[in-house]
Amino acid sequence: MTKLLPLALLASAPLCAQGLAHPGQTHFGFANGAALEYQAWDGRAPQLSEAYLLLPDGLRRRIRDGQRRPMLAFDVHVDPVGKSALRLSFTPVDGWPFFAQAPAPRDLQPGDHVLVDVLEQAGTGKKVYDSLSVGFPDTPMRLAPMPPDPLSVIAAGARLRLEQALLKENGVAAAKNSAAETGTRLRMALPNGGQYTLSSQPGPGYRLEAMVYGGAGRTAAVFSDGDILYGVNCRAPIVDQPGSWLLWVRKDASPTTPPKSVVPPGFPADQYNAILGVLGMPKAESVPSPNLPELKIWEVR
Amino acid sequence: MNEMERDRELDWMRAQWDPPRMTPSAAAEVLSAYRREFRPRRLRGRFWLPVTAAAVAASLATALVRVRPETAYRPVVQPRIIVLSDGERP
Repeated sequence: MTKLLPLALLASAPLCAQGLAHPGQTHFGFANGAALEYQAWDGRAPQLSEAYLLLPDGLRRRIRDGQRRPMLAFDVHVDPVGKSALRLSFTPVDGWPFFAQAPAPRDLQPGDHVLVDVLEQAGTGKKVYDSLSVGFPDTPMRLAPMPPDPLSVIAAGARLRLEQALLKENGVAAAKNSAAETGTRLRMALPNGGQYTLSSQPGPGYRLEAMVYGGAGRTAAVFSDGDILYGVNCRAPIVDQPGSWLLWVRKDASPTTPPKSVVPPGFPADQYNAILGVLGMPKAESVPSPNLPELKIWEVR
Repeated sequence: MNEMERDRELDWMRAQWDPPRMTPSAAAEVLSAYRREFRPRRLRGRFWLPVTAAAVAASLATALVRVRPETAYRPVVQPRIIVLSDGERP
């Protein structure tokens, strides 16, 4: 479903006040001065079909069931409250089913990461979430892609394992670690100067914003800092249980250098860099560096 | 039936003809030949195939009915706005 969202929104980009902040991202600025980054749940529900429509102050989402019958629709509104807060609210769409009760509007800080439970599995009661972030046009926002499985919060004190970790910044390999580190809190020192700690238990400064994708042959922890999306791909499961998990993450030091970008394979480098120049983004390298620097990982208490 | 359509000669011949009496052995032979030629084939192709197909279809329908409630999705009663940045948990 997530794959359809960028396409649908790209098709309606002329309606958007500020367009896409990054190619392929669902980041919008609206006429009321608010910005929204929205990501629909990328779940295993092929029987559902969805459509999206941009509004002057938000997004309309419509879901149909396998028989193409209207199942759910709602409008997501983001309205500035003064110069330092934004109000998130949900309203029904005429002629479409809605929740039995609308969620109470919430005032949020710019850059806040929010989950909203939209659907649930009728048999198991497991809920699936949409992910969104609100802000102003200059607020750095970048959501990690939602995993295919319904998310669960990791058990406090669970051991994490980062084995042969490959760190990616905005999809570009940036550092690697050939060892295996385990612990309830693992800190990573990145070549860009940033330091982040992944944790299975809360604490001062920790935010429940990292996600671990499970699944055979693929395990990765993802989190974002501003407009940088980090991915830590590992050879072995990070969490010793199948499924997708929410982890705690804390930023211990800010990056001192911007992330590198790489020209996609098959794309002429000069044309790609010309597009990036129009978007005000730094130039991309033609070939990623073959010798990756060391990603330092250690357990902290 | 009008006059032109009647075949008087054939009517006369049919009225004069008696069918031969069937001996018990001939009747048994015809019946066994019929069973050998038709009944097994009818049972194999025209009877068991639809019965098997109906049974398979019924099994699939039962399986779908049992599986679907567990995989189907429905809207939540009231969504929660969960601010992860504030440490709120799903």
